[in-house]
Amino acid sequence: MKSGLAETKQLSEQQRLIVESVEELCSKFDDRYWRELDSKGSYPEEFLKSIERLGLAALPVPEEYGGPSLGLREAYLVLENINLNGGNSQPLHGQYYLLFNLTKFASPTLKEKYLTRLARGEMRLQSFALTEPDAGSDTTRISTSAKKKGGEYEINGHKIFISRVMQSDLMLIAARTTPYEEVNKKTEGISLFLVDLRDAISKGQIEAKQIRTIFNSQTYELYIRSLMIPEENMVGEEGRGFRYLLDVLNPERILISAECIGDAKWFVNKCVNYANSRVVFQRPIGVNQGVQFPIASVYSELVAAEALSWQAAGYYDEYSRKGRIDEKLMGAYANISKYLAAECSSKAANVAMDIFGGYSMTRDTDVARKMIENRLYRVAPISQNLVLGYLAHSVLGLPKSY
Amino acid sequence: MPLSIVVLVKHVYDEGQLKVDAATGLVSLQGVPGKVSTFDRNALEAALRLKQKFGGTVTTLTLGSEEANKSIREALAMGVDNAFLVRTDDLLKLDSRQVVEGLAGGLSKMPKWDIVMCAEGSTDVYSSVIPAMLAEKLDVPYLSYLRSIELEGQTLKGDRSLEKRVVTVECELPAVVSVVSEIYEPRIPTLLQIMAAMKKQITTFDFRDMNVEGEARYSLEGMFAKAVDRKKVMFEGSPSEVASKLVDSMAKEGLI
Ligand SMILES: Cc1cc2nc3c(=O)[nH]c(=O)nc-3n(C[C@H](O)[C@H](O)[C@H](O)COP(=O)(O)OP(=O)(O)OC[C@H]3O[C@@H](n4cnc5c(N)ncnc54)[C@H](O)[C@@H]3O)c2cc1C
Repeated sequence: MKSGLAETKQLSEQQRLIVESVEELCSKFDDRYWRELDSKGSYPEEFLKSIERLGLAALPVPEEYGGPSLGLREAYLVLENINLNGGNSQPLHGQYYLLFNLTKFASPTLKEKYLTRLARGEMRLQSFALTEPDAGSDTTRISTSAKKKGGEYEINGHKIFISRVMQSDLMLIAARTTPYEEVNKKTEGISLFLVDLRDAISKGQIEAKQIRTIFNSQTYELYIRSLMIPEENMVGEEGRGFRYLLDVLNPERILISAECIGDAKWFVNKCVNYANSRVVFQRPIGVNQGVQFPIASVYSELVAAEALSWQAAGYYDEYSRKGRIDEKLMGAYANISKYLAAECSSKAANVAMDIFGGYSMTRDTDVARKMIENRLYRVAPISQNLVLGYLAHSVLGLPKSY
Repeated sequence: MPLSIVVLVKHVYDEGQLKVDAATGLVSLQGVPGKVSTFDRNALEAALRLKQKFGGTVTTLTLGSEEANKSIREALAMGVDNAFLVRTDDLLKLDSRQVVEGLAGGLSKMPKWDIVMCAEGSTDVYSSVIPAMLAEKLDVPYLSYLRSIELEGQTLKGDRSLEKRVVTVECELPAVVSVVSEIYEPRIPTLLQIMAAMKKQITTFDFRDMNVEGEARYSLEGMFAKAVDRKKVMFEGSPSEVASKLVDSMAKEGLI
C-alpha cells in the first residue's frame, strides 16, 4: 500500500494484485489532475477511460457476458484505493451498484442486450434516477409515472439530483407503474427501467439541467416528457422495483463505506505527514498532543469502521453466492458500516482542516476539496438520520419513525 | 520462428520502507515488505513487446525465497506465460558468482531460450554485474544498457545509452540483454490478466540442486545508511537576482 498506514485487511493474492493495479493507475492521475478537474467542474474522463481499459469498470459483470464476475470485496478495494490515493471514485461507484442490480434482476434478453457491451467497456451505466423534488428521503413517494402503451412504457415526471446523465450511456430509472394511492403497501407499484440516455436526450424526451454544486459533481434536474421505453427494458417484474432497490442498497452502502474509508485514510496520511513536517515554535507541530491525539483517535475509529465494512462485504459475497443471505443481518451490517465510515471520514476531514491551519483553506493542499467531496456521504445516497432510523426500527425494535 | 525470452525478475526489499536506526545508522530489514525490483518491470515490458511483435513466449526466472512468488505473480499478471523460481532462503548470503551459477542452473532446466532479458540493475543493491557475469557463464554475447531493441532475423540490435553518447550495437542470438528503465513504461495489468495470472503455474527448483560449488567469496557484514549533509544555502534578493545567484552557484558546484 502506498500510504504509510498498514493494511489491516487480509487480502488474497488476487486482491493484492488488483490493489496494485489501481495504485499504479492512480499514480498517473495525481492530485494536480483532480485539482484541475475540480476547478473546471469537469468529469474525470481520462481517468475513467483508463479504468475501462483495465477492465475495472466491468468488475461485477458475470463471466457468461465476458466480465470478470468479481464480488463486492474487489469492488470495495477499487473504490477505497482510488479515494485513498486522492481521487474521487463516484462515477465508478454508480456503475458498480447498477451492475450488481442488472446482474441480479434483469431478464436474459436485457442482459444480452447490454452486459456484453458493458463488459467490454464500450458503454457506461453510471446514472440512477430515483430522487424527486417532492420525494427526498421518502422514496416510496415518487410520482414519476410509467404507463403501458402497446409494447412500450410511457414515462412522465420530474427528477432531481440525478448524477452523470450527460456522461453515461444508460440510466436506471424508478417510476410508479401503480400510483401511491392505489397500492396496498407503499413499497409496491414501483418499477425499474433501463433508459438509453443518448436516444432519449436527442429526442427531447429527457431534458437535463445541470445543478451547480459546491464540489465537482455532474448532477442534473430532469424533466421527463413522454419518454418511450421498450417493454423489454424493464428490470425484473412490474411493481417489484422497490424490492430490487433494497437489495442493491445494501451493497451500495458498503461501497460508500469503502469510499469513506479511503477518504479517511487519505486525511490521516495527510495529517501525519503535515504534523511531522510543519515546524512552529521550532518543533514539528506533531509533538503536541493537541495535534497528535485527534489523529490517533480518528485513526482508531477508522480501523474499526474498516473492519466492520470489510466483514460486511465478505458476508455479502459469501452468502449472496450461496443464495442464503440473512436480509436482516445484511441490512444491519451495511447500514452500520455506512454510518460509522461516514462519521469517521467526516471527522478525519475536520481533523485535517484543523491541523493544516490556514493552509487547509488553500486549494493546493486539496484538504478542503476532499472534505467537501466527502461531505456528500453524510446525506447521499442516504442520510445518517435515515440510517439510524432504520437501525432503531428494524434492528432494535423501536417504533418506526419514517 | 517464435521467440523464447526469459526475463530475470528479482524480489527485493521495498527501499522506500527501509528503517534506519538513528543511533547506529544500521538499516533494519525487519518487517520491511518485499516488492518486485522496479526496473524489472521495464525489462518485462520490453520482452512482452518483442513477443507481441514476433510471437513466442515470455518466461521469468527468479532466484529467491518463496516470498518472491508475490513478484512473480505480478509478472504473470503483466502477461508473462510461465515462471520459474530457484528457491533459496539465503539470497543475502550468496555472492554474485553463486547467484549467477544458480540462475544458469535454472536456465539449463528450462525450455530453450533465445534472449535473457535483464534490467539495468536491481533496486536494492544495484550492482549491475549479474547480466554480464551470466552472459560470460552461458558463453553468449551481452548487449548492455539498451534503450531500444530491434530484431531482424537472428540479429538483435539496439541503442546503448552511455554517459555522453549513444552507440548502436548488435549481436546474434542467443544473447543476454540489459535494458535501461527509460526503454518503455511498464503496462498496468488488466483485471482479466490478473485473474488469468492466478491460474498460471510457477515451477520451483531447489537452489541446492543447481550444483553451485564452493563457498561465497565475500559476505554481507551489515548495511548502514549514509548520512548526506545538505548545504542549505540561502539566497536573498529579488526573484531575478535570486535566480541568477542560484544558477551561478549550481554552475560552480558542477551541477549544470
Ligand atoms: C451531489 C448529489 C448527487 C446525487 N446523486 C443522486 C443520483 O444520482 N440519483 C438519485 O436518485 N439521487 C441522487 N442524489 C439525491 C440524494 O440521494 C438525496 O439528496 C438524499 O437521498 C436526501 O434527500 P433530500 O436531499 O431530499 O433530503 P430530505 O429527505 O429533504 O432530508 C433533509 C434532512 O431531513 C432529515 N430527515 C428527513 N426525514 C427524516 C426522518 N424521518 N427522520 C429523521 N430525519 C429525517 C434528513 O436526514 C436530512 O438531514 C444526489 C444528491 C446530491 C447532493
